[in-house]
Amino acid sequence: MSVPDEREFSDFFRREFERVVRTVYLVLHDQQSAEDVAQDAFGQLYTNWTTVGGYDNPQAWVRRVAIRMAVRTARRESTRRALTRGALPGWAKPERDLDLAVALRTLPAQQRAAVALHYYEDRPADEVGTLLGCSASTVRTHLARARTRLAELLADEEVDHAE
Amino acid sequence: MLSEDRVRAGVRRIANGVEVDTDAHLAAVLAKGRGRGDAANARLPARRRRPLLVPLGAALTVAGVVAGGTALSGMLGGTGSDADRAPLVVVLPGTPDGTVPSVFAHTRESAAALLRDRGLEVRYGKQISCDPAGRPTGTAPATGTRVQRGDVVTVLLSYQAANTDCASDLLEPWRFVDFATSRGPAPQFAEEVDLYVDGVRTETLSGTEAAEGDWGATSALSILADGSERVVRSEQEVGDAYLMPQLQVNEGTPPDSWCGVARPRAVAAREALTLTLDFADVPLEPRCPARVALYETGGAIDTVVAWSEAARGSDLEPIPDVVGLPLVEARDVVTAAGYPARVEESETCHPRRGVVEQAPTQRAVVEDSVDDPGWYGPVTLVVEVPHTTRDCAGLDAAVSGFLRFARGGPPPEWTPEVQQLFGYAPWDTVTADTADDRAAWSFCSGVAPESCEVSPLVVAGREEDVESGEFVDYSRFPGDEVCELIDLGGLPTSGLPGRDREVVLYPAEIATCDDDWSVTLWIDDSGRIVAVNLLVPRGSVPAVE
Repeated sequence: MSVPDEREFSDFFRREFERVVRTVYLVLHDQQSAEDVAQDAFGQLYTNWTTVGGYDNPQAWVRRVAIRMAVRTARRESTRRALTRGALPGWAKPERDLDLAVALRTLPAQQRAAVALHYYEDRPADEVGTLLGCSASTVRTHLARARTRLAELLADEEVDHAE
Repeated sequence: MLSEDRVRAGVRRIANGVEVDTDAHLAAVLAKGRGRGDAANARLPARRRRPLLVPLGAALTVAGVVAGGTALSGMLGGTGSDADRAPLVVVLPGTPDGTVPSVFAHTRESAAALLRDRGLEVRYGKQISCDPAGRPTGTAPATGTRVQRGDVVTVLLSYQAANTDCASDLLEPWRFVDFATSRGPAPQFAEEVDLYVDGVRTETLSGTEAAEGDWGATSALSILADGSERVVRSEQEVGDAYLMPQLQVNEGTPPDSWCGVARPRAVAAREALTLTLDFADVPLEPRCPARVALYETGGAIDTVVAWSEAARGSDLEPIPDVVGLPLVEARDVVTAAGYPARVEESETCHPRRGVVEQAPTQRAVVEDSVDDPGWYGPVTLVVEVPHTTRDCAGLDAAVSGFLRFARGGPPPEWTPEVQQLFGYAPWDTVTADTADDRAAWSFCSGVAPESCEVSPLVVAGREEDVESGEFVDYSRFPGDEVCELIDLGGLPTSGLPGRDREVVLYPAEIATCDDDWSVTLWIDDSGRIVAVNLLVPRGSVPAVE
């Protein structure tokens, strides 16, 4: 078994890790979970670095693993929350841009992932589709629905404040 | 809808507020990857372990802990000078005649009846176990011991002492096994119950049908019932030894695959109660112990995923690339390769022929080979169909009218007041008469329209091939580039028709991002243009930025 080139991997890790954590954070809204997921994804990357490191786009590989783990985690969390109504661990943490942050949490996990990859990472819809395992048209639908939903929620917020 | 810029800016603010100790994480990943120290227990920075009722990978074993079984475990593992010689282990459908049968998965009553049928006299004893109290945990003499008619066999019944430490309530797992072996009532089922065997959805039963227990020849119930009958025989120098199976119970998300068969996509990462029938100290390969995962919502089982003892991952054929083929042909090609085909219809005003997209592609699966060892689910084929809710003809007519005007023709139909937007921010509101004047469409303050590039008429009018639709086609972007257009936010939330009356125009092809632009038209039910928004590339309007 060949040994991964640690120097090369470390350079890549330092370039990409924080951004992946941030992307995953937009899906999970829990920094510790986001770091867990990103670290697991990079752990898988390290195991496969001798192969994946030679890909044209290893950062897409690790993102795909991370974002799918994040979506799975988010869905599991949302099911768990639905089953244990009331207790919302991690939701009390103060955040930046609170209104949008709160509104984002109400989106389904896949929509949050699409928003993170498109608006934070600036990836076009077909690339987001490849990462999420769905078609580009589905991504566009996710994004349009997300923006519509966010607009509704933020408009409600403004009305509430006005009152 | 919220402007793209507002979402983008907000999302970036949120994400960029997350600070990470990258070097600490890197050190942890490298340490684990190299296997330094006790890798399995390596404490990684900032990692929170969520406690599970029964941790995955540390399954609670809840049967087959009889005295004879303990001794047998040692023999199966090999001891002393025999340690290098693996014992011959055979899985059998039951013990031979003239021996004590396995009472695994029996109730007290059915165990007694089984032994009496063989001419044995039954007594009862107790054994500490986490099984529900009163449930048989084994026999003395042990399973497989040679006996004669009239011999006494003691059925050991589970009990918990005051200090017995059991991690979980095992009533529910055993209740399902009892149901599978027709020794107990049905558990609670949801209104519909999806059944999967070896990765394939075999049936969807109503809750009533599920409770009747007739799930077919190969089902979760038959797999558990057959698996319960099995015993292992190990040939030893001192004679054959037999071992009952054990019921292992896990809570949490089942592994991605078991015996080479992936967990069905439909259950995603849902948590389940997973029951596995296995034998202690018997190597897994090449057997595949029976396993059933129960998925519940609100205490009612809605999905049952089973892996039979015959479960084997197959050598999968590559997923064929069928984009561009007619749907029927594409479906045949995908099916012939061994994948179920699923068709997704995408409504559009101008459907293209054939399959326009597929998910996944073989390349995506290969690149994702760690996350998903293979693709066992359906291949989604996307085809475009005519819109059923959108007034395509009316919208097309308005778009044509606008393009004609942009190219120097007569003005289109406007509403009495027309909103002009630049970067989704209000620019001006003009009357219909003013809108007829091309000069009113210059978004360059104080610059003649013919000299102003920032005009929806100019950008749309000079383009030969203009596309229109509900969304901009991002796949036009050159290379890996993401073209950003000026988006100032502030789209009015009222006064505009809904999304089904919104059309975006954009150049069909662009060589660089500097060539990109988009014009959005909002059109009322009478086909009149209510509002026009212009987006142009960043860098093209320094004064605005």
